[in-house]
Amino acid sequence: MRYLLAALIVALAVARTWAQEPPLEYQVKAAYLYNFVKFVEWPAGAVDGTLSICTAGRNPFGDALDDILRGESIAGHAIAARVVAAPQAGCHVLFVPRDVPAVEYLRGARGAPMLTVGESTDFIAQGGIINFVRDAGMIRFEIDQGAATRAGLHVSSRLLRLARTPARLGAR
Amino acid sequence: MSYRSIASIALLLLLPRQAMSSEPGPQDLKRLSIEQLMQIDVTLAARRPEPIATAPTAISVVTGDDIRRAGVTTIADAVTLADGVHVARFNNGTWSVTARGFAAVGANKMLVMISGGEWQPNVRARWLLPRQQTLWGSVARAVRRPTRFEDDIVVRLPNGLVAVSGNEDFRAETVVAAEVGYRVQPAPLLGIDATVFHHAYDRVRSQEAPAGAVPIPLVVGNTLNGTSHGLELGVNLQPFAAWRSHVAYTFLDVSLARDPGSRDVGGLTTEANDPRHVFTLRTSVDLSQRVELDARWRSIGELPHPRVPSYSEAAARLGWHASAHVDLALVGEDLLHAQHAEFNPVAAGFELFQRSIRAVFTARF
Repeated sequence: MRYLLAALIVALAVARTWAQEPPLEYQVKAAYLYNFVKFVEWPAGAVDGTLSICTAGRNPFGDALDDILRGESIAGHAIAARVVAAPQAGCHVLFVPRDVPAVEYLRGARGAPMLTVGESTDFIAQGGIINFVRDAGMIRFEIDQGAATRAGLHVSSRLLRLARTPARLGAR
Repeated sequence: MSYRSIASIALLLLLPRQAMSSEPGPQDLKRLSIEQLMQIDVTLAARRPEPIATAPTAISVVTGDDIRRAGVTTIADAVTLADGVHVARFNNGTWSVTARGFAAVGANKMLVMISGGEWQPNVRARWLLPRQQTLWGSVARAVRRPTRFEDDIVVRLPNGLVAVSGNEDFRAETVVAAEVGYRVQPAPLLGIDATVFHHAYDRVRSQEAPAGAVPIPLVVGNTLNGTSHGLELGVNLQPFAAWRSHVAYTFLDVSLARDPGSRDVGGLTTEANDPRHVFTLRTSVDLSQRVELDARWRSIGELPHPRVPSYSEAAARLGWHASAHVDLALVGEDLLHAQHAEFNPVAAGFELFQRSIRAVFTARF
């Protein structure tokens, strides 16, 4: 009986570890993704039914993104998150975690009305639209407005005002 | 928790993590605006996110960029960028840095003090109201642990007589600090932050005269008490991405009194030399991608003892980001007057501060 109890406690402890929340960084980034959707306009007809926020390769958000999107809708469209193993046409937002090679996903997104969001230093240079950057512990972001326009997306001026100019563009 | 600085300096790291009224999670995060998300420090060990805009404490953030653009080169100058912090320079190497009063030659109420065995409870509450309003309140008790200065200082006159001596029985000074704050961001371009506070101090350091006819040695004691109360107001304004301004005003009223039976002869006039009014304005303009202009204004009210007249001063910086590796800047400080005093206009060891202009060249490799 005692062993059973001990095993139960260990099992509970393990389950508790598994159930832990994702790092704050990804909770914040998930909230950003939800906010970005509110400030970006997709071309007419691009969003048909549910608006999909896709994460490339693996899911660093845990349940945070699902929790945030649950019950939310934008302009009458439900929003849902999913993880994709390859670039997919049905994604309206595509988040590429930093340890997932972005080039292949960005190639797949090219020309499609897909808001690509990354978190690696060369994400903008590789053709991405929004890139998360760290600034003294805070998460900020840069936006390549040209890349957004090429994808057929309109980014609101309010979001652009809060963004940093990507280093690559600022140096021009 | 810290002492008078409980509510002052802006270190998010010092935020009391235990103080939350509820457990924010992803559901709370999603209610935050992008501006608020941008203020969350994700490097904090605590798993609960705490955007500065909703923190249940008085807080003001100075970023590395603010410090660079202000053109300041010392820590003391950098902390003046935080709301509610008053810096009075004695000379080029010594400052008094205070928040909510008690500026003194040995200003001592600013550090975070942790004292074994002392009871330092801290209760905070916060209400998140619609339209990005935060109302918060807190009551905290804190102590200032005795230092060697109080324990075993011995100051001798030139003739060898002891003028001041420490006191092994010196007890920790205490404060009970109550404060209420309100923060609102009515529009993305405007943020307002107001705090009123009342601090009640007890066992404040005194200088006790001996009982006999001989006036020395003075012995360090605990026989003063006092209060400080005031208002801290900060307004952020960013009408365009390229132009932002910050205005801050602090009203402070400090009063000290002797306990019944006190034989204090010095503490009343040496423990607190604070301005009642401090006004600061900081404005930053990006003239182009490469040229930035910053200006700072400060008006400091009169100090009572030693008396220092009120003064206003201005500083400006014109910076040119010449290339990815080279920055040039022209920095002017204390521009309005040929010279001014900040703490003591007459005594030895205190300087008058003069207008200065310098060019700064920075190369990065």
